[in-house]
Amino acid sequence: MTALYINDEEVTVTPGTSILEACRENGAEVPYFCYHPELSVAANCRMCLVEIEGWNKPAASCCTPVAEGMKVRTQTEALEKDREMMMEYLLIHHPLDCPVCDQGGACKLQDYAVEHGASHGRYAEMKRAVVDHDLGPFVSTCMTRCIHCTRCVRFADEVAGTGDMGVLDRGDHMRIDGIVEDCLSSELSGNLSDICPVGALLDKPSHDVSRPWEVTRHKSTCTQCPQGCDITIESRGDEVIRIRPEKDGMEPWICDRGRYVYDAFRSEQRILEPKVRESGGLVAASWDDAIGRAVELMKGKRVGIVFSPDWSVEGLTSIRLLNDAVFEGAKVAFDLHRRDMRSFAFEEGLAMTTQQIEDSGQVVILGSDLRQRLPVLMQRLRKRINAGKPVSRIGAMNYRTNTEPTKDSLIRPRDWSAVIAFAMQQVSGLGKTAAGMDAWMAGVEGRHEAGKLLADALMDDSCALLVGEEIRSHEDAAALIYGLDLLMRACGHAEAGKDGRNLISEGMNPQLLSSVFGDVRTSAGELFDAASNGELDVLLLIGSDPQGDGLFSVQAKQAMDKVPLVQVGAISGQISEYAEVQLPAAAYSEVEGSFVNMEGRIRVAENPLSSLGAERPLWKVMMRLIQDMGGDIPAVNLDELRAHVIRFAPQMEHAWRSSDELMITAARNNTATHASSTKAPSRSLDLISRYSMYREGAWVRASDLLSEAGCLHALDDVLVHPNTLAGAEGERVVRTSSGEQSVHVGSREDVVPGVLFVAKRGVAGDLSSESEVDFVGGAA
Amino acid sequence: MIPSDPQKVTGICFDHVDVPNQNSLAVARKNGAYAFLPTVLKEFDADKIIDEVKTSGLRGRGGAGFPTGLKWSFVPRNTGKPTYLLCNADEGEPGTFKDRDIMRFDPHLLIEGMIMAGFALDVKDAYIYIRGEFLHEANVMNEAIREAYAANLLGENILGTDYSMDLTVHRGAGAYICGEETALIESLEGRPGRPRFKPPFPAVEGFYGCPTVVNNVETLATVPAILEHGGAWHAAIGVPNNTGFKIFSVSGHVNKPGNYEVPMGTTMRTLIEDYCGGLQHGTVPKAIIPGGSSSAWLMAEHYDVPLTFDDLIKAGSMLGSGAIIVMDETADLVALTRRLAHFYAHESCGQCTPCREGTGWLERVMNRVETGHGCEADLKVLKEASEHMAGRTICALADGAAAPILSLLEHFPDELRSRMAQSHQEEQSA
Amino acid sequence: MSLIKRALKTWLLLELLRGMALTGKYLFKKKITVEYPEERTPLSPRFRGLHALRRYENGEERCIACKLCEVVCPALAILIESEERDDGTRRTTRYDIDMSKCIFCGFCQEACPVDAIVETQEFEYATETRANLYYTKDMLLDVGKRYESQIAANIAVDVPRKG
Repeated sequence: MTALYINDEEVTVTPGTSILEACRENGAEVPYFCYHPELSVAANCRMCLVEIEGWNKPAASCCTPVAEGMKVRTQTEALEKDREMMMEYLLIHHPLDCPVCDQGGACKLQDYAVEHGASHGRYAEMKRAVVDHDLGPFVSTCMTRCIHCTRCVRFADEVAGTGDMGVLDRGDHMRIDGIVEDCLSSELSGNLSDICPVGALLDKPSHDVSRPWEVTRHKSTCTQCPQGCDITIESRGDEVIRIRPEKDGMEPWICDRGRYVYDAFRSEQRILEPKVRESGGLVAASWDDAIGRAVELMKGKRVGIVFSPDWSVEGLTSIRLLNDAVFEGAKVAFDLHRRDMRSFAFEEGLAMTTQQIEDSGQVVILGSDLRQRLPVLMQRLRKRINAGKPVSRIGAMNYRTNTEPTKDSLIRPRDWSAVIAFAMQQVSGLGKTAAGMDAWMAGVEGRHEAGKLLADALMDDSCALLVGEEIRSHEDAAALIYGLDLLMRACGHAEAGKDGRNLISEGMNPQLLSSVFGDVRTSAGELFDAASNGELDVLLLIGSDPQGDGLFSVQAKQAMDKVPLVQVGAISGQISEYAEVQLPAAAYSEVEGSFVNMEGRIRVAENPLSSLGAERPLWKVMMRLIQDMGGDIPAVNLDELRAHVIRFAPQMEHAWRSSDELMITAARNNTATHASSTKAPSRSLDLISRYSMYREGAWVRASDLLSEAGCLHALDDVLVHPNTLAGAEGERVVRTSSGEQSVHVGSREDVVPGVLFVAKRGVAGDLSSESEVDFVGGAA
Repeated sequence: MIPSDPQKVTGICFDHVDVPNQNSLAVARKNGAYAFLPTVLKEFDADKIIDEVKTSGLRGRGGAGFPTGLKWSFVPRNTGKPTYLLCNADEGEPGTFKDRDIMRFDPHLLIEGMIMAGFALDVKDAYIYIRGEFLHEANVMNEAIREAYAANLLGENILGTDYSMDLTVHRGAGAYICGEETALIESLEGRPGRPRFKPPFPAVEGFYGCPTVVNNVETLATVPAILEHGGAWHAAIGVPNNTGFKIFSVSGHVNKPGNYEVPMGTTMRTLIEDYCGGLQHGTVPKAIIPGGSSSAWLMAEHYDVPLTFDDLIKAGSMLGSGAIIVMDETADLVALTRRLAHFYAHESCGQCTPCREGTGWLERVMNRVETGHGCEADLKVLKEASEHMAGRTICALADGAAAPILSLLEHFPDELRSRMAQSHQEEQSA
Repeated sequence: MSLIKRALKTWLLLELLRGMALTGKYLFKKKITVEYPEERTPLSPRFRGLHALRRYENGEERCIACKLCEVVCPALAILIESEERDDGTRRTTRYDIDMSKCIFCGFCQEACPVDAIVETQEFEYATETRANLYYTKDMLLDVGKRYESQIAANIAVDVPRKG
């Protein structure tokens, strides 16, 4: 530790800290513009000058490391004069348009001008004006206001990894520019408006709508991906103005998906009142009428329940209570991406925190488009790569990560077992083995060299596997995951404390779902098939949109054609055309409730937004249904409901009592063994359907903003490697298990040969439910 | 040949500068170039070379006057990373024109110096970052390097020893700021020339994050003589702590402007009157810029100052790169300052707030004042804006921009005021 | 002694005469009563009466929806909603003042950076219902149109004093 004096007070900080950081840690006020704790140091604003005893001129505190015994002063007359002059320099060309600037009221320049600036400027010459640029749907620019702190440039280089901001020219002609006009290609672009200390980069969707002092802040949890970022929802009245990362949250950034989904909160697709179908259309009804209609449809019938995993813990538990109270023996499903329902050796949810993953010796991404799937985790990995730590990847496509992984290998999904077997062979050659590994290896015929990459990573002291959707949605997922589990155990990455087996879940609350629904869940595909075959009488969909999301859109459609649908949720979506009854449930921003993210971190939201209409928290809707179906109401308030949560998931016991950070763990070390499937592939092409952050999820599809961004980031509907296509891009006939259909096929070198890549799931016909296809009449 | 008696030395870098065709290897060799190189490569080791340079008291000729031997000794060894030697030939300081003469008339002297320095620092790759406008000099250098490669003076196993070094000339793109060592490194890496903040110093983390030494052309060209005749020999020339010869580029109102290599400690008066043929008008100069446009001005009372790093600092200015601009009574100092303000505003890299905004501001105010539209308040603006630029930025460009304006305000405020009065009179009569 | 004095005062009607003298004095003095509404007192240019929203000479409304008046209003009488207009400028979509809340402190016009919201010298806007005291943007602009010349003249007088 280094001891130094800040304004005569002795403080100790870690060696290598900058003076500015030491001052921040110890509460000494030093003004700054260009410094940002998450970005590299630029030292160009010169606002953070401090005096150091023995130095003949003031030093920029952000780039001066502390030294033993250093005597620093942050408040002297000379420094005040310096700051006054810095403000004068900065304000020379800054327009005096604070009243129309959205940053006004939350602007560093404004604050410091009041605090440190002179009362009037002396610059009498012409001011500079700079041309604005169109930076896409999320960031609006007013570059004349720019003070050239280059935070945005460093953000684009270091955090987003796209490098699409830059500095052009020099002297006072210097300007910040987007190199790619029209669109910032990053999925984190919304953060630019947060890091700009002035009003040069602003939030476009909320532009000119509100002023900073008008908003009320609500702490909440984003449920748009399993990352479950801590967010602050800023609202004016009952209108959400914007969503920002929580200041003291786990992650400094949030993705555009989580940030701009609020657009859907007030969209036409919101279900804000109960509706029933009358003469072909859905019409508003009272709660009593709507519930009555639902009860009429479901009472005494065989019911299939499909729900979304993104509800609050309390909401999810109330679904289980509904099932137990009135639908004993009903089919229940929530995962629209899991084909293989055998138990996994390690269940969904991460074993490590994102910080542990970032710090781990090795990280291997197995079959995941992580940038789209978990943008914030990908950002952590990017930070890792920038720091020179390895990140390897095996997958079916060269998914864009914006910072290249250190090692990369492309494989077809049918080769996964061969990859794992090859890795096993490698590690057992080095004397590492686990019980059952030889048998598993022997059950696999082929070997694939990509396994070398995996084996190399496993030899490190710590290794984090990130098992993604390509494996989880695989028809043989349980066997593959068992194989990976054997590998990890063989190499010592499975013990408590250094467990690196992370299976990325589909939605929120993965650990809780396996506790609460582990014994009753079935496959969604099976459930829909049962409905089509007449084994079910009615479908109850709670927040789930199987037609737009997941792998079972065909089966879901067939099922809904056959049986009536009762829809409970916040967003109506495509499936509402099948709904007989719609019951409004409150959105995640509008409930008091708890959420568990993929790491197992519990967050309790206590300050929700007010309701926009007649919607009620999901658990209340469920209780009402139980009551009207003739069951006993298990809980009449949140406390009683939470007692039920603890009954299903004892890990949650302290969640609402303790103020400490609580983690719950995912199920590990299941004893079931699964040998790899020996079934030979029946068709020549494997099919992978892509997860797109701008399309997946009912909320996202209801947001115009995200749809607009989705159009800008779109790929062709269906992609293959040029060699696989063997011909021109265009309409091709594809043979699937359910027949033949014609699709528009594009080509891209990024796709591994032998794979048909469906980039727009749910849009490209009904292909996404397939796992193998053939081209008809074309070489493949 | 440079005599080994320090009393008889007449020049080090310019000893053969006027020999016809000295830029060809054959002629240079005839005059002693590379004669001592085999001895250095075979009999000297790194410590000995650095010690000799330390003993010689050689101080960097680029402007800062930092002891060269000390700089070399800061380079960490055995880091596992390569060490780079960069020769700063981006001679951009207004008034300086010494390095170009070394490069165009005696390029082999520089190459020899670089090989010796490179050998001392275990450098595999050395670069000469040459000013973009020096097309002819770059051609001469490249031709000399080609000849040196052909004679096995560069490349693999130089002169049959284990030591190998490659030397490359890189032409700049015309930015003054690239003469600053960290901006030079940035530029050489292929990025816009913007200085880096220190620490880390280039000696530890420089070119591509590796240990890097950046030396001026004249500094490196002095090294062969030091190694040949010994550090003590060099230390005996000049005055203590300011040893050796220094090239002064004299321009302005003197009868014979040009480059003069004189021993350190020669007085300004001697240089101007004995070497440069005196002033064009009058007997004492009105003002002298002693070390390039970025240095504070000296007045007539400093006419007898000895030209050393230390004496000029005592006189309130600096020796800089030795570019002396002499102004006699006919000089229009307001116009001169305005032009310099324009230069700095044009060359500011734009990184730091005070320099980016301040240089432009100063230029605009100077424009107004020069054309007679200034007012008394402008003098305060000029003073405060300059004072708070200097020393508050990453590099020293802001100090350079502030120096002429502060000198003008300190010594010739009446000249500024008379401009204002002049315009007021004109306005009234019109 | 005092008794005699009092008797004298009483019998000579001295108090009455003194009072009558005062009455007589005012009977012949210049009248100061203003016969409102036929007559009116002069008003200060800083008089704080009914609010108005102003426009520029070219017809463009001045208000830029900075909401400083809204936030400074101690009576919370102002309600503003804004949006970005098609030409990229920030404009109000709603600007309401509830005159029944307003305390006529004049902070709104002090806060306004573009002299858009001002208080006129108008004070005769009594209405029959409270609802009519709720002024919308159109009503305020209309007030501005009616009193523009008066407002401009008052501001011109006031500017040198504000400094």
